[in-house]
Amino acid sequence: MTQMKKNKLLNLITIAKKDLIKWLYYAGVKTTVEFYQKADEIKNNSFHKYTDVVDHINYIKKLESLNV
Amino acid sequence: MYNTTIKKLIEELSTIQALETSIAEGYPDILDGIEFTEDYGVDFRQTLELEEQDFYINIKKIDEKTKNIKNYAVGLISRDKIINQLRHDDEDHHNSKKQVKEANPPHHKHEGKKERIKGSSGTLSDLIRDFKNILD
Repeated sequence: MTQMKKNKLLNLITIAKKDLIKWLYYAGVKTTVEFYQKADEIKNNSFHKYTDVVDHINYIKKLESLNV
Repeated sequence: MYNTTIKKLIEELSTIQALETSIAEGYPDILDGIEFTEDYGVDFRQTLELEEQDFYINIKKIDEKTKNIKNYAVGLISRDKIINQLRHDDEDHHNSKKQVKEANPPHHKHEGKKERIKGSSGTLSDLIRDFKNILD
């Protein structure tokens, strides 16, 4: 991966991490730790909010795995 | 006449639509010219801050034959009420999923496989049209 691509990937990771804050907000929590603690409650309130946060966490992990 | 917020939304959707073919080919330039790998190109999530809502688009799968984006979700979330104002995706409605046990209230429009309104299930151009109709 060229340095330019690496920088763009890092930029996307930064944006994705900012997005995670929004998704946690929509799920009614502030941190991923709190999210997992309240997982059942969030699922019952809104399955979308639960799956969207999980998907976004996995998305960030995927981006970070590419940053090698 | 669309206001600025709607213009931004439509532009964003149009940009994604214009890149649909390149996404399918595995080398999309969705964000600032970045070249995606094949693994990268089939998993794209982004939230766009609008004036009163957030627009989000999640793409997980591209049909290699038809080049259509599949397994997607696009929608609008009200920042004040923290609810989905609009959501399109191609998954089963969550009330149909056993694990939900019908606990999820119908708090937002949802056009899953089983509750899809006519014309809302196809390509991004269909979605753009629906967004225009709803937000106009």
